[in-house]
Amino acid sequence: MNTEKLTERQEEALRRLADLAVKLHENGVIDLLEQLSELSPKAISYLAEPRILKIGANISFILHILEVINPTIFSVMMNNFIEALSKEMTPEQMMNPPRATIGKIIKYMRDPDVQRALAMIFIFLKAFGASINTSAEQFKRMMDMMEKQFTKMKEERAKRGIPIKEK
Amino acid sequence: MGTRVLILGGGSGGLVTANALYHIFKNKSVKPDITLIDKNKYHEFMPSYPWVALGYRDPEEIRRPLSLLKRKGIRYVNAVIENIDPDKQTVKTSEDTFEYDFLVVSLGAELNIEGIEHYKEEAHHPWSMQGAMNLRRALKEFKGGKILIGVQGMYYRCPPAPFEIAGQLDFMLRAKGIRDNTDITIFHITPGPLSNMGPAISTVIAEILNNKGVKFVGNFEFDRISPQEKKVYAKDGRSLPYDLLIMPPAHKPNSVVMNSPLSNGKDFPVVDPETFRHVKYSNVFIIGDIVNPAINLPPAGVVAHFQAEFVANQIAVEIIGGYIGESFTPVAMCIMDFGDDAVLPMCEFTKVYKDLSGPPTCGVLGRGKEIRLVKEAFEAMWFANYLTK
Repeated sequence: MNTEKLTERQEEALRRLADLAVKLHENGVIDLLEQLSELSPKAISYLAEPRILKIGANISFILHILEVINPTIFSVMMNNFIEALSKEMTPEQMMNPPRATIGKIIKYMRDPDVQRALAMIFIFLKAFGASINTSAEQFKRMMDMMEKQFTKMKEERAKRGIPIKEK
Repeated sequence: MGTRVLILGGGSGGLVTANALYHIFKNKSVKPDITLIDKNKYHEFMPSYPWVALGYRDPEEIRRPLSLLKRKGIRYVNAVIENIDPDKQTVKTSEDTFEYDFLVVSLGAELNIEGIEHYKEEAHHPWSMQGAMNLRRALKEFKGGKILIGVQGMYYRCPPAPFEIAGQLDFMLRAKGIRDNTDITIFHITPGPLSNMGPAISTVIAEILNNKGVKFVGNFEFDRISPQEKKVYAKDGRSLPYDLLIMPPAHKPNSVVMNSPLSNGKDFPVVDPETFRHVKYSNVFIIGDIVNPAINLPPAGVVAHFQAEFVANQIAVEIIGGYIGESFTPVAMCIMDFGDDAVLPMCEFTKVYKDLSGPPTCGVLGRGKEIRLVKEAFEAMWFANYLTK
């Protein structure tokens, strides 16, 4: 900006900025900003607390799940599910809930809608079981790798007199 | 004369220590004399080196003169450190000899370009400003072929960098229209990409690399470069071809420290992992890449940053008589920019670092190309906070 000769628009902008500064000053906003600016260098350390980071990572993962779900499929399925549920779950049923006797369970099991729902639950259980297995393998691989590192590190620390805290 | 605090190194650790002390004592009646010595005139924001190589940043955009520290009353001396004498409490430099009451050593790792045979002629590395600019020139001439990115061991600055560079290159080469005739391969000593950070991070990085068509070759223990064959060999005999090789150079702890009584000449200096004080010289603190691999912490700026704040707190306690500031949190975060995708992983190393047991608690704080904005905001905040104009 040429400070020797200000244009009319620049002068106007600076005048408005000065008026705004006076208002902020009188309302204590500048004072507050000054105090808050002192916190800025500390912010990184405080936000990097393990507790905050874990919360952040978990929120991020939940958001990721929401990102992965196809909204078209999800909304169509949920709308139809809610509609079906509202037909089946009537106030009369709530007041006089049916009992699942052996005979009724057998009858339900013959219902194609219940069969489809059960099949979906079994598909879910199958995937869940497989994921437990894969996770266990992944953790084991990581722990084996780390254990090798730790053994080396412990030997090194013992040799050089670096303290190791007992677990 | 106030208590003399001498800080060696103007990288992340040294810069944060100096600033943390400035903030602690700014409004106090007692003030220490803070001096920071560095052979470089500029502090460079190292996480942005890959952006320099890929042309997203120019060198001037990611560095600021260390002389700006003078505005905070911190004395900055541009000198080469020649000798550290912890018995006499002096540091000899190319400019003068300095006495201290507290010494903070944050001299980092040195790049050992000559450490690997044929490395200098064959490999590129955006692990320094010069290396980043050389890679930029090479990429301008690159017309397609085999790009090989890998590491020579576990000790190199910023462990996620090779993966980030691979992702950025994929993006750039697609923009250039030569991705289809280019193979990008990463080799690494770990079995999977960042697998030492656990499956939560490793699977995300593997998925990104897979989506980008970047191949990963794990358990590849680097042995040698063969310039005649244009191949890199592993110790088990496997080999990988290259037209363009990108590799961090061998890193070694700072030689002045290694040749001082702070070390035995061949190993990392010995510090108490709880305080980062030297085990023999308790008024000497050693932080950052020069010591972290020895205490099971990753060689990354973020770790040096948190160590620096804790060290400043300890010095304040000794000068003031009591102070409650920052504790040390063994966490690491890093924004990995893959060009059109980005990840913000985090790891907490409390168990790993304190008990030598695992696993670290790791997770992903965010994913998506918008994460690049976080990196840009952090870069801006870094300079605004620590080297205020």
